[in-house]
Parts: sequence; C-alpha cells; structure tokens
Amino acid sequence: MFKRLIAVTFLAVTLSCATGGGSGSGSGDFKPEARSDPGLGDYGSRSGGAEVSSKRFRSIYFEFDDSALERQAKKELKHNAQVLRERSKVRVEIQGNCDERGSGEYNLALGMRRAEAAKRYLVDLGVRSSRIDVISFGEENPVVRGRSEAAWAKNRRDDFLVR
Amino acid sequence: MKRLVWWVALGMAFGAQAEDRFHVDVQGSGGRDYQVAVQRFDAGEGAAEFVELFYGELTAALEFSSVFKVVDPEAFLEPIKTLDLDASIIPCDNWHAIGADALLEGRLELVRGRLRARFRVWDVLRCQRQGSGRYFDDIPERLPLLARRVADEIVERFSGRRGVAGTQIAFVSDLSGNKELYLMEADGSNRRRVTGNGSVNLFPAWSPDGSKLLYTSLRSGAFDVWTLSRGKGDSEQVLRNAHHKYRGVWAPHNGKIALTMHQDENTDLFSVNSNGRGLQRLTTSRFIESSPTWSPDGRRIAFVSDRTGSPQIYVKDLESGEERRLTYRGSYNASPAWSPSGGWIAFAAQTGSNFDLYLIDPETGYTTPIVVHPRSDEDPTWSPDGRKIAFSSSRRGRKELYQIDLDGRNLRRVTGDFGNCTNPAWSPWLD
Repeated sequence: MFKRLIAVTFLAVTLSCATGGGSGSGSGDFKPEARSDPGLGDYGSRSGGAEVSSKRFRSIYFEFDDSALERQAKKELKHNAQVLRERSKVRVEIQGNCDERGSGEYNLALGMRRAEAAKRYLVDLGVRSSRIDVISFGEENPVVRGRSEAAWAKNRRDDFLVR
Repeated sequence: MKRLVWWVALGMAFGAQAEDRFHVDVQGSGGRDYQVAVQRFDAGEGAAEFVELFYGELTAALEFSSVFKVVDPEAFLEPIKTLDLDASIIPCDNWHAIGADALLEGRLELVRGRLRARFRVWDVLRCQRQGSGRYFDDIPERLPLLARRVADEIVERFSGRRGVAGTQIAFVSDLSGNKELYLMEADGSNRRRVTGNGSVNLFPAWSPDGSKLLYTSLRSGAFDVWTLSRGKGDSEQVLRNAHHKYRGVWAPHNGKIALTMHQDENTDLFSVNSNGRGLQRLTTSRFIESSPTWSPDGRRIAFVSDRTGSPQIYVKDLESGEERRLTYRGSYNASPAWSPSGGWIAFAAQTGSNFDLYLIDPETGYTTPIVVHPRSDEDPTWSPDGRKIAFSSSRRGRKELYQIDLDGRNLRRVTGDFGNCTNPAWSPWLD
C-alpha cells in the first residue's frame, strides 16, 4: 500500500507541469501554454460581419495534386469577378485547400499555388490585385471528412471569403 | 531467414540497381540481443523505498533499447539483489550458466536529498567489468529519467552507441479538438500538452541541444514558424515578415534554420540564423520546394520538389549549390528524414492513396522498404542513435505513432486513444 502511494506520488509529480530547474538543458520541461486565445477554430471566416455574404462567391475545385484551372473553375471565377465588380469596396481572401492525401507540408504549398492560380485569373479579368489576399490551409481545413474520392474531391478547392 | 529473403526480394523488386546486397545500419550485436541480468539495487539509508520502482524503470528502459533482453530473475542462481557493490570478483560462471551476457548490479543512496544510482556492469563471458563504476544522480521525483540514463549508458558500453530511453518525442495530436503540440518520453509514457493556442499547430522540430522546439502554427492568422523554449511559456516567431512559412528545421551545428517560405508567388527553401537574421535563399526554381532535412554534417539538405511534375526528393550541396534528384521510382515521394549517421534518408512513398516508408542511400540511390502496409505510414523521424524510426500510421483507423527498429524488428505502437497523432519528432540526447 505504501509502495503504491510512493509510485502514485512519483507519477503525479512527474506528470504535473514544469518541474523546471535541474541540471542540464534538457531536464526542464516545456511549460504548457494556457489556453488564452478563444482560438482560431473557425478560421474559415475570421472577420465576420461583412455586407456581402461569402455565399455569393463560388468555390472552385481541382484535380489531385494539380493547380490547373479546369473549365468549370474558370466559369466560377468569372462569376466571382462579377461579384467583385458589383461590390467595389469588398476585399476577398482566397483560401487554398488540399485533400488529406500526401505530405502535410507539401499540401500547404500546393494549397497556396491553387489560391494564387485563382488570384491570377481574377486579376486577368480586371480585378485589382490589392483587393485579393491569398492563404493556404493545406489539408488542415477539410469541408468533408472521409476516405473516398467523393470526399477528397470536395476538399481540393479554393474558397472565397469576404474580408 | 525466410524473413530476410522476403526483404531482399522486395528490395530487389523495388529495383536495387546493380547491387543485390541488403544492408541496414545496424551495429553491435548483429541483430542478436544481449541477455542482461539485472539485480535489484542495494539500498543505502532512506533509499529502500525506491528500489522496486527503479528496478521496473531500469529493466523497461533496457528492454526498450532493442539491444538487450532482461533475464528473468526467477532463473538466477545468485541473489536477485546486489549485496556488495564493491566486491572485487563475481561468480561469472553462475551468471553465464543462466545465459546472461551481462550483469548489472548497483546501489541506490540518498545523498543530500538527491537519489544517487551507483552501478557496475560486467561482461559475463570475459568476466570483466565493462567501463568503470560510476553513478548518476537526480531528485527522487525524476527517478524514471535517472533509471533511463543508467540504461542508456549500459547500452553504450555494450553496443558502442548510447541508448535512447532518456530521450523524448514531440508530436501533434488533435485530442483536444484542434492540433496542438505534445511531448512524451521515447517509450510513449508521460504524454503532456505543450501548446494551447486553439489553432492549428504542426511539424515540431528540435534544436540540436534539445532545449527548443520549432513548430508551424496558424496562431497569428497565417502559417508561420515559431520557437518554443523549455521553461518559457511564450513562443516567438523565428522571422517576422509578411510571408507565409510552412516549416522550420534546425541545422545540426551552426545555429541556422532551414525554412520553407512562400515568397514571390512561389514556395522555396531559405536559411536564416536562429535570431532571425541573415536570411538566404537556397532554391530558386519556379516550382514548389519544401520539406528540408539536413545531413548530419550540415553540408547538404534533402528536400521535396515537384519540378518534374510531381513531388520527388532532391539533395542540395550547400557549398557547391548543386541540386541532384534522388528518387526516381514512384510518382510521389515526400517527407525525407536524414539519418543521424548520414547513411540513409527515410521517406514516404505513395502507393495508391497510401504511403509506405522506405530508406534510400543518398550516395547510390539504393532503396529498400522499411514499413510496407496496406494503410498509410508517414512522417518518419530517427532516434538519435539511428537505431529506430518513429512514424505515424493509420493502420488501426486513426493516426497513431509507432516505432520500428531499422532491421524491421520490434514494431510497437506508442500512442493509442490519444486522438490522431502525427508529425513525430525524436529529440536529441537531453544532457
């Protein structure tokens, strides 16, 4: 019984945060961050409160491991450019996304490439470049979870949000 | 033997060049475990209460090493407890008779509030002490770490390379609902959360002295690379500029950090001093370059580029600037991790929609599989002794962390019921 108490005490002390001190650079622990931010959990729509609903914009979709604009994507981009022409004060953020397959880091870069492909097309259509921000979420922001081509296809996308 | 033939066949099928040898970076016992008999340590005043716990931690750490198997004390002909640590001879025959290759004996003492573990280890066959007697000490609360340090030392004396029981693994888990950084001991015990910003946190990477972690986070609203130091609650950005950064990796010696950064409508590799100064561009192609990993001598970086149409692994010589493609098979090769010895790069190769793990020799391009499974195995990271690889696997559904020895033995799962665990990063030795 006493030995168990000792063992439990050891575990409790070892598991508690930041024992700190001690010899050597590795013996102090990393202090766990207190949860201070309310969090960016809903980072898909960080600004909120915009007059033009992001729903007026249309997302565009991509083939696997590709950032080329398919014909349907170009149609949607023309629509998005029209929305931006109608509301000349609106800024848009293009968010590039990937499906869950592949290297997480490479997908961050690929998502950015997808966002920039859309931005270039909008600029070619006459939208002022300074109205468009681009960001990538890689595979970290799926709209559909699941391991099927149907799910993956919905996640390989650019979303357009009002800033 | 049959298993060896299978690996060779797979290696050859995968396309071993002209060479059909099969070699792995295993030294020491040549694949055979040493049998170590461990006595309960003798106890000085006030130390008796620690003996059993110390024995448990010590033997677990020795088993973890993949070098030793611990002899069951039931088999001992000699006492299960050290009686006289200072005896000048030991009855080697009685240890040899039960199959022990090594004997570990010791004594625990409380000295000015610190627990001191004195020990001696014997090569039973030659009936000689391996190395001189020595001791480690620590506060009693850190008894598990103390036992692991003893075990790692014993492993070094018998195999020539120090054990890794006293090291740690940083990793990412979505246990709390979003991806945060966690830390655990190398054997998977004592998991604790390290970040708590509620955002997306990825890709931990250790400083060479184990005192800091780099990681990627969305905490500021865009992906950037941050540094977290032991004993300090706040993280700091490595380099504050307007550009998104996807990953940072410390160089082995010179304090530089390789960065994957997006600039001028392209993602490339850069290097910067750890104080954020001295930014240098390393790659210039109009394609994606990412996932840097340093060679142990710090003179080369392996990375992923899709300049030929899909992600493949390249090696850049930092002095000459030359870039050379390394992987030629398969349509998607990523997540390179250079071994501590420099002799291998572990990487993830896509097969269908899943990944398997392979090793490639950076000199010859010779490639051999290490983890092949119908589900996905990714994110390889090396233990600092180069004996083990930890990785993330979805073989049970969720992503969980596993470890495997380089020769394919001792596959073990180290996380479970802990959310989806990815991006493991094995620490250096921590003292």
